[in-house]
Amino acid sequence: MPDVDFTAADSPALAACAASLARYAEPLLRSVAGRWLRLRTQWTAEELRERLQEALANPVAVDRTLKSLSPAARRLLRLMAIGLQTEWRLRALADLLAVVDPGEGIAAVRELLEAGFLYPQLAGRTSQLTSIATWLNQAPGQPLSVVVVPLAAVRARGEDLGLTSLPHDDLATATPQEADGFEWLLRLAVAWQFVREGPLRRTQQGGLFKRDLDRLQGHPLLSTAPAESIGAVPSPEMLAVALAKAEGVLHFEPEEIRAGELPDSWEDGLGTALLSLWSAWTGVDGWDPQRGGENGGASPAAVATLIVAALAEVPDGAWVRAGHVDAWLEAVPDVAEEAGTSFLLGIGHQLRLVQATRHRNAWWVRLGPVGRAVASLSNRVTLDRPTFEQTLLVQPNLEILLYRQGLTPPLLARLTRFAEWQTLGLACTLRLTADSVYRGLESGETLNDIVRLLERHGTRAISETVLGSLRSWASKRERVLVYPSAVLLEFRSEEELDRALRQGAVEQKVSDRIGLISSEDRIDYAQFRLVGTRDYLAVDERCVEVNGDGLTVTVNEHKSDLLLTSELRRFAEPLPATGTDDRPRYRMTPATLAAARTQGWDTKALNTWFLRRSGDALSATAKLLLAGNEAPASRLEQMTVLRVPTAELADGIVAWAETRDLIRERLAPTLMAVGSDDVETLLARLASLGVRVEPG
Amino acid sequence: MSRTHGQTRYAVKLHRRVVLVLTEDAMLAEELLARKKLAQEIAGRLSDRALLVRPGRVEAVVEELQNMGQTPQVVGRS
Repeated sequence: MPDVDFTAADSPALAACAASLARYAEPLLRSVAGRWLRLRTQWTAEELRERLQEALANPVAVDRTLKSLSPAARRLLRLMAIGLQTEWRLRALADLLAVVDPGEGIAAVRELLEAGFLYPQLAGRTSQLTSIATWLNQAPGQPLSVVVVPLAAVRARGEDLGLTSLPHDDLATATPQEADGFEWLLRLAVAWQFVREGPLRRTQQGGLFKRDLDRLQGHPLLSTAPAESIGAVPSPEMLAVALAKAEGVLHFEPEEIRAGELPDSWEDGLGTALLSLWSAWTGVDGWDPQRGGENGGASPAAVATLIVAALAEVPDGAWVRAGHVDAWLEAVPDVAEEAGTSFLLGIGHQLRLVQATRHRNAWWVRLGPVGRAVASLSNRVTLDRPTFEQTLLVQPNLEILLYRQGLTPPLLARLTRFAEWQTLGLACTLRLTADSVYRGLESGETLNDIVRLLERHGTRAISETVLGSLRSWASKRERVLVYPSAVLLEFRSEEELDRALRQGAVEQKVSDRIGLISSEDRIDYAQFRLVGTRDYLAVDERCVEVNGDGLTVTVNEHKSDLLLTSELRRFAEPLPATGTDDRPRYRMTPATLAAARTQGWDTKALNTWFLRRSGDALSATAKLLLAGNEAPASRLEQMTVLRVPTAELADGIVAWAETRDLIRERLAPTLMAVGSDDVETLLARLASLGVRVEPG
Repeated sequence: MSRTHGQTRYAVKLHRRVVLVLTEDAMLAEELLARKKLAQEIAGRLSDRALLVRPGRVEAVVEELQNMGQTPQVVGRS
């Protein structure tokens, strides 16, 4: 959302200034703070920052420090306030200074940075900033931006800009043409619907994927010329996206562009909405009134700001020939030949900044009420409200015919939420569809709200056909309810749940023992005693124990959740309650584990589940039942076992070279397996040592 | 159930932040469960028309319901 209230104490621009200050090295910080405060040596850097930030929002401190600036620096501040923009490209400021401080380059920018009225945009920088000059030296290699202290910009309003006067004429017989100001509000609404249907995917360079770019450029409403156009607006679809981004209507994420929210400023009427759009326009990067999406040349934001400032110097009511504005702009470096005319008759006229008239085969312009409000740094403008509310006609074929004469921004926003824009013109059309109404209902409208709005602004009563469709679509939405964050209460018995339901302690019955409450703050804890709590976004609780048989699972009901039962039933079967306690028990059997395997529950998955739910791995017994058939084949053998009286004797037999190869396996400390073919040999060799062996 | 100062208090277990789908009737719940992509997001069935969704999968469920042509009402979305 554009930052249009320059006097707000919580302005985002002030936060941006503070973020930059946090990266200032201490000597630079002390130097800047010295322009605003009487420094005390005992103040730490942190204290200095805090005091300076307070001063930046203090009108008395701002006024006092403004006096220490050169007139050129104060003029630049005033122009930034006219642009209603707190973040500016360095290039745009250079273009502004070419007119108000010719021949001095960006000296005034440097002065404002050193005096703490401007702050470098340092997003992404990790190292400390030691000097303004070092930062400015990067300008030829990369586009730099600065943030202005908003209160300082607005309090420089009295500064004479010293602009060369534009030739003007009263044109007593002229008939002013003024746009209704809705064109770009409508286009933003269409852009919002368009992106809501499907996000626009971005390339790594930040552009759009070709398919999405083609889709945008081929859009039947966004890519066509505005209805009230008296001058061309190239690539209007790209401007709509850029303005929508600045207004927060579209969110630019790293990989795609998604629909945001329709601007709050629309609720305050057309004047506020247009001021916000002006601020959005001066914040647009990468769109030019003459070249559209191509970059290069003078800053369009600076050119537009200078034009508004220059027209404001003309006496009220006087007209200026558009061609004279082009000539007046020649002081701006690299400015296109008809930059003034392009802005004035294009976006300037459509944003209702200027009124236009044809006189002697030429276009003449003057500021309208919105333009004058911008130039006078007033963040409020009152425009005449429509004298009638009945401005639309809902036809039985579900098409809405809308006459712009009675349109207001709040009405536009509401219609955009539940009806699809079909055509834009002096009379626009929208269509009610099942999908558009569903989306409207999902955005918070109710069926009654929609019907009331259409009746209030309709020139005729809504037909039964339309009402029937609306009711049918709305009722279809009741068929499936999704609770993203429900609160469920699990009762001990169905009788208790039913009783609580009758008392209103629970809103809805979900199952025989489970009731639903739509939000946690509606729980009356005086009526409940909690025997357990489970948060489904928290880590799983260990809530089962495996019995000694490795197959029986006992549930700890105080810690278990609703997911547990359905998980358990996938590989175990419930056991009847025993007399010892009433804790639920489940048992894994060959049949249940075989069924689990067919559903993808292999040893690994079950092992993970048991570690998560019990803290121990899957038992060996369960593994035997589950995957015993996967083990290599076992062999049943007959062999003779030699039992010796001591382990030491066994050690000797296993180690002596004459007997070592005759022992097939040592089964235990005093037990050894002997192959049947080797028994006689072993007995003979042990006898040679005098070791006695008795038959078993 | 216990009594405190004459008032009945129900012993309950509280389940917070549960993702739940409630259908108009049991047949619709069956229809949803028959949809493979949706079924894999369902962790369990609490009753014939109440389906328990795996935590964190609400957006996927709503999207799949819309793909099915349903118009789910998302209740209390923050």
